[in-house]
Amino acid sequence: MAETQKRLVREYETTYLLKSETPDDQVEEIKERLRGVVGREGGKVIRFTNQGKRKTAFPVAKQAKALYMHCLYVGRPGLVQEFERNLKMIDSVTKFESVRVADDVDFDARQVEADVKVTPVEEEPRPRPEFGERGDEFEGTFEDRGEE
Amino acid sequence: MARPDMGERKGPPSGGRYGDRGGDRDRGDRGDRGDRGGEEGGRRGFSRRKVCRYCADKNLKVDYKDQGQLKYFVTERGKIIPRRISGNCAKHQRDVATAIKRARVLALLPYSVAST
Repeated sequence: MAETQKRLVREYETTYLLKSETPDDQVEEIKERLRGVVGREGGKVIRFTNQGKRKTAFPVAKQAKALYMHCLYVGRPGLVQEFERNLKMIDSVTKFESVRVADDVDFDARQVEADVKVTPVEEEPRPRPEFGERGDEFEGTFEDRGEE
Repeated sequence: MARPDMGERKGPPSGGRYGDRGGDRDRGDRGDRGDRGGEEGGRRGFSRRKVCRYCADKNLKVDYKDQGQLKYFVTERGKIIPRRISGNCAKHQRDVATAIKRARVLALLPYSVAST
């Protein structure tokens, strides 16, 4: 009978950007606040990932860098609205994006993991020879045709 | 004899512009397109048929968070590279396009890059 009692939920992930000057204790505070939101709505947070300060492709909130945070959680569909509503209320959150990762996840089987902090990768110094070669080929052909 | 161009086509490629790539024409896997192109359609060169990276490698997933991976499919100006050039299959091109748009929202990829 236990098999039929399985509680199926959806798994979501939300990436949110914080202003780069946000102090660490405030980052933790936001994390706990969001964890509370997810818990209140009957979901659970699998893990938070601090992806560190990274250079953005364009200025966000007039700054070239932003702190990327990633949150993976399970819950019912209404949870995402509540989660995003809370993000909007926090002033230091500049951008966010939620994506559904999986359907029909067993709520109890999904284990909570420890929070992770990854150091940001620096893209520029890393050599990317294969990209350079292929990129040139793409560029040439595309610009030949695309340019009016 | 009725179509002298048939004989012409079997010879070495005469088009100077794509001469270095012309050898692939003899592979025979694009016989349906062999009639056109060739000498008079000089603009369209025959290059190697590109394969979809994601079909070739089943373990590779389209991920909107992976900036380095998506850069393959974006021009320097930030435009999405069309399928006919990137070689993606239809399904994966759709996935890639969605992923690029998501990455733009998160400021991982630019919407546009101004030229000087």
